[in-house]
Amino acid sequence: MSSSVNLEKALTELFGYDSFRDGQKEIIESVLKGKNTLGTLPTGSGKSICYQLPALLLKGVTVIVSPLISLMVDQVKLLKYNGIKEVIAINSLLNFDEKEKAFKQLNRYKMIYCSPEMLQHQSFVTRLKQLKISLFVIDEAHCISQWGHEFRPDYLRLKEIIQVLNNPTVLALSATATPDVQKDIIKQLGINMTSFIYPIDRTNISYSICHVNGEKEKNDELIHVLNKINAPTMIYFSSRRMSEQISALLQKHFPNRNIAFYHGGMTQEDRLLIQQQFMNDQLDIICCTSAFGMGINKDNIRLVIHYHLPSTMEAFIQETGRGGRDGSHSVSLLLYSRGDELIPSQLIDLELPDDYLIEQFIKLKRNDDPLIETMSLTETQERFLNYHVEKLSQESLTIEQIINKIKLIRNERNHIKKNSIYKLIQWIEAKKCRRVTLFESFQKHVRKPDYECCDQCGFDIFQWVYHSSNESNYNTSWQMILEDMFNRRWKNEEEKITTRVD
Amino acid sequence: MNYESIILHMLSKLERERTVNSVYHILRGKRSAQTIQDIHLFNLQQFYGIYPNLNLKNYEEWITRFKQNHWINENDNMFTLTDEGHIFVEKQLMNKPLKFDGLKFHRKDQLFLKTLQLLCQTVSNLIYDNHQFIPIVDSLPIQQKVKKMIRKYRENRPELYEGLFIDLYTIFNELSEEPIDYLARQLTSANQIGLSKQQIAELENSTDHDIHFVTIHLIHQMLSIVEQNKGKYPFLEQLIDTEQSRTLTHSASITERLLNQRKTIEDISRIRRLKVSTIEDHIVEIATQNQHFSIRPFVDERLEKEIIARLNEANTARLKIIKDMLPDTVTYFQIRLVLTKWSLFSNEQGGREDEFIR
Ligand SMILES: [Zn+2]
Repeated sequence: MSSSVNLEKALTELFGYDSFRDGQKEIIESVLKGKNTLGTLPTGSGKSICYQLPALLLKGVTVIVSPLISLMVDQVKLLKYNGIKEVIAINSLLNFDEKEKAFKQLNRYKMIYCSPEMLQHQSFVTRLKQLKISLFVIDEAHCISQWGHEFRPDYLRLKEIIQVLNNPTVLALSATATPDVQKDIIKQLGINMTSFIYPIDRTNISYSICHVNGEKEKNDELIHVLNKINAPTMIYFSSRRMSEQISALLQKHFPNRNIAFYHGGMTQEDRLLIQQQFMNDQLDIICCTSAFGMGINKDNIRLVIHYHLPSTMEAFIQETGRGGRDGSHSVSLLLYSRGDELIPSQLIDLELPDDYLIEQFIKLKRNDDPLIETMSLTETQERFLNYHVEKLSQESLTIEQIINKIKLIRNERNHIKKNSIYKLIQWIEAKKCRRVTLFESFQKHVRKPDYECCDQCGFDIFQWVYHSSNESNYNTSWQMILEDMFNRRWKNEEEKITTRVD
Repeated sequence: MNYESIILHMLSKLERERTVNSVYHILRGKRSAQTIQDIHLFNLQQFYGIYPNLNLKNYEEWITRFKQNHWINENDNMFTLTDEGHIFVEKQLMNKPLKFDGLKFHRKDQLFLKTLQLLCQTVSNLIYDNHQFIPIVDSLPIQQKVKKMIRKYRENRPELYEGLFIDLYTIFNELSEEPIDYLARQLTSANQIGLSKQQIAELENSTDHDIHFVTIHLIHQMLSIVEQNKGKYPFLEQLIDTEQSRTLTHSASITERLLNQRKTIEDISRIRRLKVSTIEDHIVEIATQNQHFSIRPFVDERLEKEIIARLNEANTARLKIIKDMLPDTVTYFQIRLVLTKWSLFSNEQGGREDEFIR
C-alpha cells in the first residue's frame, strides 16, 4: 500500500474530507518525510490541514506558533468540534493556575498552539524541551519578515527556539507572502527549506470597485447594491462605531433581513453568539471589523463588501478570500471615496509608540521604575518596545542613542506600511484588470477566472443575479423555543404540560 | 422595566447623602468598604452587583440625560431629585415592586445563566442526535460542570431531557406575567443560536441595558423560586452554584499563595515589589471572597470587637469618622478587614444588617 492511499484515508477518517485540495498533499508528504517546508496557499484553502494531519500521524508533539490569540482559540475549538481533543492553546488568556496545570499535563497533547510571546517564557520552553517535539509549525509565517505587512519582532526569536528544541521539522505557512517575503522567511529561520508555492489568486471571486463621493453617496450605493443582491454578505469596516451605525441603517432599510454587527469591543459572549448565528445561516448580513472572520469557516458567503479601505493589499486579499469557500461564485465590492486612505494612515500612526511614549518607556525601563506599568501602552506597542530595547541593550549605547535608534526603526516600519496603502490606492486608480494588478506581486501568472473577472473587464455588479433561498422563521415565544429545543413539536398537548403535583 | 426607573429609584435613596457615582459602584458590585456600607445604610442591598459590566461612560451618559430631563439637579458634588424625578419613579414602580436580590445572587446569577445556556444547547443537540457542536459558552469551569451533569445521566438520558424540559416549562409558566420570552430567546437549541441582548433590544425597540436588567430580574426570580421550593425543580437546582464563587484577580491569587506560605505583608511586598497598600487591598479582596479566611494575623480578637463596637455606635457610613473614634494605631486596613468579614458574616446569617446600621 502506498503512503498516499493512507493519507487520503486518514483525511477522511480524521477530518471527514473526501480529498485533498491543491497543495495540501504535497506539503504534508514533505513534512512527513522530515523536510523543513515552506508553503503558501490561498486563504480558505485549508492551510491548517497541512499541519493538523501530520500532527496526528506523527509520533510526538506538534507545536504551532500563531500570532493571534483569537485565531488559535478558534482553531482549538474547531478541532474539538471534529472530535480531536488532545489540543490546547497556551496564551495570555490562561490565568496562573490554568497555565500551571497545562504545563504539568503538556505531555497529554498532540498539538500545542502558542503565541510567540509564550515561547519567551523560560518555564514553558523548559517544559517543551522535555517532550519529543516532532513538528514545529509557524503559522502566518510572513510575520517573520520586515517586508511583510504584519511584521512581529518576536517571530525573529523562533530560530533560536527551534535550536533549543533540538531542531524538529519546521513547517512555515502563509497565505500572503510575496516572493521577497518568502526568501526572507527562509533567511531569517536560517535553515534549508523545500518550498511549495501555490497561486493565491481566487478564481471564483469577481472584483469590483465603486467610486463614490462622500459618506452619503457611499451609504446610498451600499443600499442600492443590497437591494439588488440578497445573499450571505459580510461588510468590513475599520471602525467599530461605523459597523454599528451602518448595521442599524441597513436594518431600517431591510426590516425583513437579519443583520448584525460584530467587533472587538463586544463581550466575549455576544461575539460567540453572533459568530455562530452567522455560521448557522441565521444572519443575512454581518457588519464587522477585521476582528471577525478569523477561523470562521462559513463556506457560502457570496458577497464581501469593504466599506472602508483595508490597511494593506494582503488584508484585502485575506478578507475577500472569506467569500466563496464552497467554490461557487462570490463577489468582492470595494466602496471607495477619495480621502478614505486617511483612516488607515491614521491607524498606522497610532499602532506604534510616538516619540513621547518611546522616551518615557526607555527612561522608566532604565531605572526599573514600576511606574512603567501605569503607562497606557497597547499590546503591540509594548511588544515593539520590549523587543527593541532588549535587542539594543546588548550594544553599549547611551539612552539618547537607544531612543533615537528606536524612533528610526519605528519611522521605517510606518513608512513600509504607508507605502502599502499607497499601493492600494494605485490599484484602485489603475485602469487595468483588478485581478492581475491585485495578484501580480505575489505570483508570476494570474489564473483565468471561473466567473466574471472584474469591473475593468466588464463585470457589472448590478447585472449579477443572486437570490438567497434562505427564508428563516424564528421562534420568538418561550413555548415555541422550548418545544423546538426539546423536540416536542409533535407530541400531544396533554403530555407536554405535565407539571408536577406539589 | 427600564434602566431609568431603576437608576432613578436608587438615586432617590441616596440624594443629599452621596455622589451620583455611588450608584455606579453598587451596580457593579464593588467590593469596597464604602460600597458595602452604603447598601446596608440606604437599603439598596437588592441592587448590589446587578450590572457588573456597566462602564462608567455609559453611566455618565445616563446621568447627563437625567439632568437634561430635569429629573435630577447636581451641584457641589451633591445631587437631588426634582419633583418630576420623584413622580417619574413613583409612576414607573407603583404597581411593580422590583424583585432583584443582588446581595444574595450577584455573580451567582451570571453563572446560573451561562450554565443554563450551555446545558440547553448540549441537551438539545443530544436530543437531535447531533454530537458535534461548538459550545456557546467558553468558560472552562462551566463546560466542566455541564459535562459532569451530562455524564451523571449517562445511563438515563431521557430522564435529564424530560426533567429539564419540565423544570423550564413549569418555571417559565410561573413567570409568564413577566417578559420571560426575553430570557428564552437567549437560549440556544440545536437548530437556533440564541440572540444577544443587543439583538433582542433591537427587536423590541429597547436598549441592551434594559434587556440586561430584565434578564437579571428574571434570573433572580428564578433563583428565588428554585431555592424556596426545594425539590420541585431538581434539574435547575443542580445548576445553582452552592459555593461562594471565587473570582480573585490574578494578582490577588498570587498574594494568597504567598500568605499560605506564611509570608507577612512586608515579605510579600518585598518579594512582589508592590506597595504594602496594594498587598493590603489583595487581602481585603481575599477576605471578601473567602468566608473562611482568617483575619486574625492582622486584627486580634480584642481589636475586632472594639472596631465592631465603634461601627455600631457610629451613625455614619464614613470610614474616616470611624477611624477617628479609634486609637491612632488602628489602620484603615484593619477597619476594612473587620468590615469585610462582618458583612460576609451577616450576609450568610441573614437579618443582621440592622444591627450594624444602628
Ligand atoms: Zn479583470
